[in-house]
Amino acid sequence: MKQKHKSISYAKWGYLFILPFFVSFFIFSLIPLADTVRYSFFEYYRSGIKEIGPNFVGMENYISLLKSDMLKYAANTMILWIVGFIPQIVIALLLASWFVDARLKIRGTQFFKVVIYLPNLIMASAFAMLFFTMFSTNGPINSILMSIGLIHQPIDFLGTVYGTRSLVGLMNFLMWFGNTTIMLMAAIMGISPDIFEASELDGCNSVQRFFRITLPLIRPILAYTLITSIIGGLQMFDVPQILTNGQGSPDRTSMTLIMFLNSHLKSKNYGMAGALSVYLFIVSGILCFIVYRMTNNDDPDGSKAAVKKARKKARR
Amino acid sequence: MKSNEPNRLRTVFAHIVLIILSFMCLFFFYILFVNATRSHAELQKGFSALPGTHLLENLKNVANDGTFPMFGGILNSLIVSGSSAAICTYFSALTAYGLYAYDFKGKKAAFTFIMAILVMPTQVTAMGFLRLVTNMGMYDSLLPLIIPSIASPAVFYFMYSYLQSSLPLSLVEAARIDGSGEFKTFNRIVLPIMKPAIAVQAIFSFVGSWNNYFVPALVIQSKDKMTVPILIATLRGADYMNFDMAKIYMMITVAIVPIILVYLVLSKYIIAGVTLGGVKE
Amino acid sequence: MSETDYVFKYTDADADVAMPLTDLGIDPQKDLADQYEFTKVTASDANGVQRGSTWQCCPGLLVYRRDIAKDVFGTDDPEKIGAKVKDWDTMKATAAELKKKGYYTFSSYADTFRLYGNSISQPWMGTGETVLKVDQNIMDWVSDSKEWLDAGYLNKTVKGQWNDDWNKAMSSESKVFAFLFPAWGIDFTLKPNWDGEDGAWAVTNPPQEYNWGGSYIHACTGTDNPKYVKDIILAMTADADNLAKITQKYGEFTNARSSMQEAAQNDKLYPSEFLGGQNAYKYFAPVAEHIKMAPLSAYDQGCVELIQNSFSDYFQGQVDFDKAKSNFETAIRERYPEITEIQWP
Repeated sequence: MKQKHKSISYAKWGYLFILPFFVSFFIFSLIPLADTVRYSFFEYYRSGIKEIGPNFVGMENYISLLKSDMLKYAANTMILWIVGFIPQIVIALLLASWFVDARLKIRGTQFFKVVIYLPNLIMASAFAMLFFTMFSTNGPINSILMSIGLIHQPIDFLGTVYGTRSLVGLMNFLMWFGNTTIMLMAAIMGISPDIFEASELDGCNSVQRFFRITLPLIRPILAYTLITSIIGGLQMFDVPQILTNGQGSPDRTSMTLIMFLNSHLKSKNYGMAGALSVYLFIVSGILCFIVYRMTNNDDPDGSKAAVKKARKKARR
Repeated sequence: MKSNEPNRLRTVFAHIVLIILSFMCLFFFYILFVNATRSHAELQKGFSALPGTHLLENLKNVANDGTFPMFGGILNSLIVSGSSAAICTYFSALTAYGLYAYDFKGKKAAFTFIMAILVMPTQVTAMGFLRLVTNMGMYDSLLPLIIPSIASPAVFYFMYSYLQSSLPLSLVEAARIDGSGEFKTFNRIVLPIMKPAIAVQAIFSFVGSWNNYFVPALVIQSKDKMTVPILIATLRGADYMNFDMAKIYMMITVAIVPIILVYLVLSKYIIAGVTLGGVKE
Repeated sequence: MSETDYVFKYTDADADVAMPLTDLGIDPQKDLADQYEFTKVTASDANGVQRGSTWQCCPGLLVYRRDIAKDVFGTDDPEKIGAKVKDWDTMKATAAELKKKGYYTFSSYADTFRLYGNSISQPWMGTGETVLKVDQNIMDWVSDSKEWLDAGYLNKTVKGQWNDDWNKAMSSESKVFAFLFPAWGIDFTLKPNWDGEDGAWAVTNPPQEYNWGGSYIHACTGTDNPKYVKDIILAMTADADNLAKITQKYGEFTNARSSMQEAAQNDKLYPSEFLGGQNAYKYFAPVAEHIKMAPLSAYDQGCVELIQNSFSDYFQGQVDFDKAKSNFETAIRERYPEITEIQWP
C-alpha cells in the first residue's frame, strides 16, 4: 500500500524527465512533418529572388512526381543499394563465422576488426571526394593499373553507368561490411555452443553447419540487418551526390531519391519537395513498422530475444 | 576427432581473405596520405608509392585558404558534434530513466511511440524542418544542428536497455529514503552508473554528427559557419577551385584525420559498443 | 563582388541589391571613361543604369605549344599560327593536320563552349518570361563538338574543365596543342600546370573573339559606408596607376583602354616571362575591341552548367541526342521550376 502511494506521487517526475525529449521531437520533427505534408498540396517555389505561391493545387505535385523520373530514381536507389549490400552481407557472414569459430586459429582478430570497422566512421562525403579524385581517368588508380600492365587504356570509371554504380557500391560495401560483421559475430556468439558440439558429434562439416544451423538461428538478426539496411539505402545521398556532383551522371543513372529531393530543396521548390517527402515518409513508415514489429512485439520470430541474447553474450 | 587438415586450409584461406579486405580498406587511405604530402606538380606526373616532402606546405595552403576555411570548419564541426554528443547522451539517459524508474499513465504509450520512430529517417521532414528553422530565425546558424539531438530514439533505447540490466530500482528507493531529490538522484547516482553506456553512445553520436551532411547543408549558408562535410561538398562543386590537387588531398585528409585519431585511441570501446547496443544510428 | 557568370543577379533593377554608381557619387561617363564599353554594359541593369564596376577586361586568346606547332606546321610564329586558326573552318582543317601527327587540337569540348556561348543572340530566358530558348550557337557547339570528338581532335578523357584530367592536359606529356584562355587564365591556370620551361607556349588570335570572366565590385544597397565603397571602386577600377600596377604584377588585361592599347603597341612595356617574352597585349587589345557581350540573364549559370552536363553524356556516347535534350529539360526544370517551356532552334 505504501508502495502504491509512493509511485503515484512520483509520477510527475516521470513526466518531467521525458518532457524534453517529447517537446524537442514535437517541435523539430512533428511540426516539420505536418508542414511538409501541408505544403505538398501547394505550388510554392522561387523564381530567382522572387517567390511564387503558395497556391493550393491539390494532388498536382504528387501526379507530376509520378510522371517524372521519380520511379527511375527509386530504381537507381535500390540498384545502388543492392550492389553494395550483397557483397556486404556475404562477406560479413563469412567473416563472422570465421571469427567465432575457435578452431580456425585466426591471428590478430582485434587488428582485423579494427581495420574493417574503420571505413564506417569515415565521412561519406570525404570518402566520395577521395574516390572521385582517385578514380578519375588520369588519376592514381588508373596509373597503377596501367603500370602493372593490367590495362592498356585508362578505364573511364566515372563516365560509364557500370563504373559509377560500382564505385558507389564499393564505397557502401567498404563503409558497412565491418559493422555488419561485428553485429553478426555477436549474433553467432549468442548461439549456445552445445548445439555446435552436438552437430559435430553428428558428423556435420563446417559448410553444413553454417547453412543448417548457424544461418537459421541468426535469422532474426539477419532480418533486422536487412530491413535497417534497406532503410539506410533509401536515404542514400552523400556518396552519389559528391561523386557525381549532384547530377547522377551519366544519364542520371546514379541519381537517388534523396538527391532528387535535395535538388528540389536547393531550388526552394517546397511544393514538389513536400510531395516527394511524403512518398518517402510512407515507404519509410512501412519499413519502420516492420522493424518495430520485429523487435517489439512478443517476438513473432524470435528476433527480440535473439537481439537481447546477443547483446548479453557480447557484454561478457 | 576430425582431422586438422581442412581446418588448416580454411585458416589459411581465411587469413588471405582477411588480408585482401584489410588491404582494400587501408589502401585508399594510404594513397590519400601519400598524395597529401606531395605537391601539385608532382601529382601531375603520376602515382608514387612513397610520400613526398610537401606536408607542411600543403597544410599551410589549406589553413590559409579563404574560400575553404577548413580549420574554421573543423572548429565548427567540433562545436556542433561535441555539443550534440553531450546533449544527446544526457537527455537520452534522462528520458530512459524517466521511463524506467517511474510509473505513470501513458508510460507504455510513450515508450511504444519512441520505439515506433526508432529508424525514421530525418530527411523526410527536412523540408518542414528547413521552413521551421527559417521562421524561428535560426537559419544559417549552428543551433538547429545541435538542439534536435535532444530527441534521439536510438540512443534512448540503448540507455534504456542498459538501465534494465544495471540499475536496480532499490538503489533509487534507497536514495529517496536518504532524502535525495529526484533530479539529484539522477545526476548524482544514476549517471555515474551509466557512464560506460554514455561513453559509448557519446562516441557514436559525435562521429554521426561530425559526418552529417544532408540537413546541415540545407541550413548553413555562410562559409564561416560551415561544418567539414559541407566544405567538402562545396569543394566538389566549385570547379575553378579544384585546381591545386595537392590542396584537395590535404583538405580531405584534414577532414577525416580527427575521426581516425579518435577511433584509433578508442577502437576497443567503439567496437564493443556496436554489439552492446546492437542498433546503428 | 560578383563574376560575369552571375553578375546579372546583382545588377537586376528589380532586386535592387547593388546601388547605382551615380548614387555613390561616381559618374560612369566621366570617372570610368577609360573603361571598355562592354564591361560597363555588363554591369548595368535593363534600364542602362550601371551598378557595378570591374578592373578586369578579359579578352580571350588561343594559347598554343610552340613545340607541337613546329612539329606539325614547321613554324611556331604567332602570326603564321594565327592565320591557321583564324576562323572555325580554317581551324577544322588545321585540326585534321594535327590529328595526322597524333595531336589533339583542344583538350575538350568544354574548352570551346565559351566561344559559342558568348555569341548567343538572345538571352537564355528574358526577364519576366517563362520560356527558355536554346540558341542556335549552342546547337552549333553541340554538333561541332560531336564532330570533333568523333574525329579525334579532342581528348575524350577530358570531360570538363577544372578537373584533374584537364589539368593534366596542360602538362608536357599531353598531346594537346592549344587552350583558350584570357590573361588571368594563362597566369592562374596554365602556368602552374605546366611542368616545363618558360617560353614553351605562345599566344595568337582565337578563331572567334570571346571574353571569359571578370570580377565586378558592387556597393550593397543599404550600406553604411558609401564613401568607402566609392573610393574602393574608383581606386580599383578607374585609377590608371593602380590598374597599371595590376597589369605589371599579374599580367592582367585591365579595364583601362588607353593603357592597354599602349601596351599593345609597345613590346617593351609588359612582356610575359611565361610566354618567353612575347607581348601578349598585341593580341589581347584587338580582341577586346571586338568583344560583344552575350545578352545576360539570371539563368546563365544554371543553363551553362546543365547544358554541358547533359550533352557531355551524348558526346561520350552514353545517351543519344534526344535523350540528352530531355535530360537537359528535366535538369533545368528542377533547377528553375518557373520554366514552363523549352524551345530548341
